[in-house]
Amino acid sequence: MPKRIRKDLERYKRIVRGEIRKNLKDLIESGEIVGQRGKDIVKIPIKSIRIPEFRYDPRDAGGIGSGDGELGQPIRLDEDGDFWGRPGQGTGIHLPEVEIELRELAEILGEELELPRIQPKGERRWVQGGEDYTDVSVVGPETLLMKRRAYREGLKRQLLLTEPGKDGAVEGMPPALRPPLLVTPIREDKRYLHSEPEPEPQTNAVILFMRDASGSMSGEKTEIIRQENYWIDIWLRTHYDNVERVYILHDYEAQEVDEKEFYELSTGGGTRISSAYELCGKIIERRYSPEDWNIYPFHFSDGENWIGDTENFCVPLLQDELLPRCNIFCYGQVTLGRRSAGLHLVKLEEHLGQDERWVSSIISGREDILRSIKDFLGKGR
Amino acid sequence: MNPLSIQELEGLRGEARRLAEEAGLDPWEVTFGVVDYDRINELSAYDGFPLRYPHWQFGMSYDYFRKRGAYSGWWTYELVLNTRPALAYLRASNTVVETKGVMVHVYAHVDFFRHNRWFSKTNRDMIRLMENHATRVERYMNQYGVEKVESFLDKVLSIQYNMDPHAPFIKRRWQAKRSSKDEDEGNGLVEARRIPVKRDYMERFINPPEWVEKRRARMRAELEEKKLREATELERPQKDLLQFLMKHGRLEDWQKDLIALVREESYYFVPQIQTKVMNEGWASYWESKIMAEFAGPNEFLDHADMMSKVLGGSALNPYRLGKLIWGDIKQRWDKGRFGREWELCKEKEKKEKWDTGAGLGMEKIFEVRRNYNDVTFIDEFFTEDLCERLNLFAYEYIPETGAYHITSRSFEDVKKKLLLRHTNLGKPTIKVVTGNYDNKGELLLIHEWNGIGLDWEDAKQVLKNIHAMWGRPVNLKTIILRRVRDPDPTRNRIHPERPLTAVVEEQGVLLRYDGETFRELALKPEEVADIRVDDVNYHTIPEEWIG
Repeated sequence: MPKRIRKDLERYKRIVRGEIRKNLKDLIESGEIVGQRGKDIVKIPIKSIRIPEFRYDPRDAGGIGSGDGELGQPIRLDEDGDFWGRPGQGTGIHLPEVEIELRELAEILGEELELPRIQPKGERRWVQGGEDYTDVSVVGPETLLMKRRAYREGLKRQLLLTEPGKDGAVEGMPPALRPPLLVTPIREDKRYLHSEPEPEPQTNAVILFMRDASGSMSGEKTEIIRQENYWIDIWLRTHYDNVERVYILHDYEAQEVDEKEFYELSTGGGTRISSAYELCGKIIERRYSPEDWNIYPFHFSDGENWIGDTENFCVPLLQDELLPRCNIFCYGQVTLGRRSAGLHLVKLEEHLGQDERWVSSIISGREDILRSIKDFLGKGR
Repeated sequence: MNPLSIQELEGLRGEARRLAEEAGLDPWEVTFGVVDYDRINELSAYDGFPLRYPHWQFGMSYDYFRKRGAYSGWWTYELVLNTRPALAYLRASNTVVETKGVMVHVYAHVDFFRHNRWFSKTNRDMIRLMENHATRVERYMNQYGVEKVESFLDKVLSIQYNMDPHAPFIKRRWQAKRSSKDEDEGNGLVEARRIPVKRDYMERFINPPEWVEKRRARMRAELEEKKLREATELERPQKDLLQFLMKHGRLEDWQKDLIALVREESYYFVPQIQTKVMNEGWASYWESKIMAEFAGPNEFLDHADMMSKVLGGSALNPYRLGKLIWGDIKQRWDKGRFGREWELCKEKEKKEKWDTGAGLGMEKIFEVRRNYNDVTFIDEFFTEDLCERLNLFAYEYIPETGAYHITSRSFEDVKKKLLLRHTNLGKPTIKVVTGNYDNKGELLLIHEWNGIGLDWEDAKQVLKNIHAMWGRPVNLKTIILRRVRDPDPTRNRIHPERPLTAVVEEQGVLLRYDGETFRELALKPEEVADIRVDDVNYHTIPEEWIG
């Protein structure tokens, strides 16, 4: 990076970090960041990192767009739909929100909560295939298809194969009236991103999220869990090259679900937590050998459990099966407005209180999210 | 792909220049710099200059360009400085066809910089000036601390375009009329120079008393005017807030110098903002013309692909809009589609076939490139036909639905909105009225209200910043729209597609910041009349939607 701009960049970043840290609690509680689908970059709504100016109220000024639509029809503005303060020579750049790489965000979170770095256990393994696409290939998976390139090749081919005068155009016809050339790429036109397999050292982690899905756990409680999981996820992701996630829902029985279902499903049945712990143990045994994986189970419930289940089944499962294999096992009791420990937590505390592989936290509302993240991740395991 | 050698580049440059000149362009000499990808990002952040004064804002731009490049494969296509010789940059990894395209594009820009009237007052030695600015700011930072200097710069930058873009073109009365011989103004004693007379009896013929008296009176008036100029009580409101604060603000010398420096840079950038559509359009227009010849047979498609990226995106992309208008002017004047007869002709078929073989297109576009800026360009050459072809519409925000709605497809409305974004750099007009408001040494600003309100939060922040420079309370007169009656919900039954909105009323407001708190006071009707610009209305909400 050029030297001169680096200083400007550093000062800018310091301002951004300062603002984010100042607003971190709000950002986490409002949940505005969670739910963004971007893999590497998140947008953070911070208004103050902009030099204010006398400008029109954008709502008052309206604007111009292009496309079809009836009068009165509501429209959605895309990023280009409006160019008030569009970047250009000498105008400066005004971003309504700050874009920040996930890695940076995680660092800020770490600094703010004074989270210790995690020392990945196990040896780094050498695996094949990097993520850098350095080459182009004529075969490959459809996800790596270069669409623009394919259409270009198609256009080239069609231009070459069309006899002059047969494309429907008449000499001298204005371009606007010419029939549009339909380009249909065929298999030979397709080009794919290609990565040279290069052995790279890799560290692996798996996060197993477990949640009580019984009726009492819906709505705001699930939302809190979603927020919490998001931050846990980005923090762990900065420490490992490869992070996999497993979602387990349970009521009386436990089952593995995908991310969407995990936050949306809710059932009416009773609660038997040991079912989830049992499934968790099985999944670890089958798919994530502790030699190669750093294992992080997180369990959230409201603290209620089937009578006798905690001490008779959960505790032995944790002690014999889970804790020895995990980096850390986290239990979060999500109870809106109530901070006292539920029966499940009391019993676990009784039996496992001394074990440093076990952490618990009580979350009674959004304002507790930040603290509970610190509880969970503060051990640096 | 191997980077091109210097010889190859020089060959391409010579060819690009020859083709540009053959096409009729007349650019200054251009120095091309070959730089790597990261340096391009840095240069883009610095608006093309090799270096700027230290400020976090450039870091922000750099971060933006870097991320755009890394995550969406987008890069700065061309970067050219309006200096003499012009300086432009090529990415080291450019392919041959990219290099050709960029070179031609740059030559067209430089032709525009050289010949467009709005650049005629621009300092063409800006690189050195920017370096000088950087040195000055760094010196102040060493002396007073980075934080202090940077935070003051933040304040100045919040009004960086509150200057008078037309100022360089105005011949002031006191500049135009004063003859150099009349400058002995002494201690307020005014005495006009007489024409030397050898024989006394000729005196009253050569220097007639009435003439001497007239001259004396004029000088007195000028002196008066000059005093006024220097005082904080202005004769009439003026736009150059930066200058006013620099002269009269309670500031230390280094702070005044920072204002001067920002203001100087603004005067350099303003013509570029004022001609963005024309200039980008001009360059794209010539690029596509010249590349038809310049691009090799196997490069044609690559160039088309490149152009489509530059011209893509929104219909209002200045590259695309500008190119379209230039092409349209050329065609219209070639076919004689202008003047009274053309305007009066109402038959669509006749108009479609209209071709007088006038062949004036080339002459016309060169005349336009000499004399126009974006506002006059759009005002005169953005036609109904283009509006239809681009399928444009105007939209407005309706608070009741919380969304933007299409309000009009009429050419007048679209054009109005288009002009709004270019008039006064697309920003509201703010003027200084006096530095002695209410005879208390307070600053009074007015917002010349054209129907569109200020962004209130921003306005408050800016007032705070101005207060820090002025040192005394600051006041801003503006107008806001106040809801007076909610829409009648029953009306929706007949036309459910119409988003109904409340009836609003204008309310004059004096926003005052005294260093601690903001206050909002109501203005008297005559004060409202003073700041209201009557001859334009930028709103396009149909009558039937209101109330």
